[in-house]
Amino acid sequence: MPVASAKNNKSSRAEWIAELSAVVGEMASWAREAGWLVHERTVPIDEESMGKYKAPGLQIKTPIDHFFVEPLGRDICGAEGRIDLYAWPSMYRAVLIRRGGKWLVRDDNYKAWPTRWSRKTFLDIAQTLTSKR
Amino acid sequence: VKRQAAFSMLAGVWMEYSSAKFAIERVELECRSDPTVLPLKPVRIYPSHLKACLRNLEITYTQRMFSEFEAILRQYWAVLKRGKTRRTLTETLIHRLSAALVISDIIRVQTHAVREYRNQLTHHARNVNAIPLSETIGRLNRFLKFFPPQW
Repeated sequence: MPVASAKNNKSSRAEWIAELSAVVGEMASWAREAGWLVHERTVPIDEESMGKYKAPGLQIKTPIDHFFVEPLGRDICGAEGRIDLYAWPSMYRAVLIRRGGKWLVRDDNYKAWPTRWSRKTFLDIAQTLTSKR
Repeated sequence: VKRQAAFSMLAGVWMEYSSAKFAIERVELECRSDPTVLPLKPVRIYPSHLKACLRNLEITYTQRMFSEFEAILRQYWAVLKRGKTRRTLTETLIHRLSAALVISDIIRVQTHAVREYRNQLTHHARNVNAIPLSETIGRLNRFLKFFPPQW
């Protein structure tokens, strides 16, 4: 790989990880404020444009069940990044998609979540997905 | 259709392959000590047929598995398009679904590699980079993971 390209990859990877750290960090704070147990974890990702890296993720213990925050990467078809939010073990899922510099929330059918991305939306998603049976 | 049913369809093909492989290996071993286990009617089977069958089994099931996968993609695409679909190339279909389901590039690329391998098998291409069936099911399942739970 040419040196300039490797440097570009490194800087865009750093930017992406910083972007992820900000949004995942925010979710960790919201979950802790709600009194939930939060375990910060790293998710290994391998992408053509950025190579291998470790992305920040979360495992949250809500009063009902476990809830995971798992980044999938930045090289995504039709988006600039994707983070999956899912309940475990039911695997009900919502999706955070980065488009035009904004995080958009979709349900598991890729339909827009009724509210915009915010603390309230995050808590609502965690509660809704973990309560589904 | 439920996403779980789609996973089960591919798992079903995998189990058929595993069963066929087990059965042929068993008969092949048995006929080494007793060639009379092979039938004479309605068709006469020779040990060489068993060997050829075993050699091509994975290829046969790769094609079967990909055709089940393709059927799932077409079914979902028809639902997305409310039945108004023309005959779309599988390559295009994978691209369009990847965009609609916001699928990781790496998973899309790996799925295309399976499609290309299937095409090479269909056209009897030589010097192909084989993808083992165990890897094929893994790649196709990873693509299906992005589907909604029901459609």
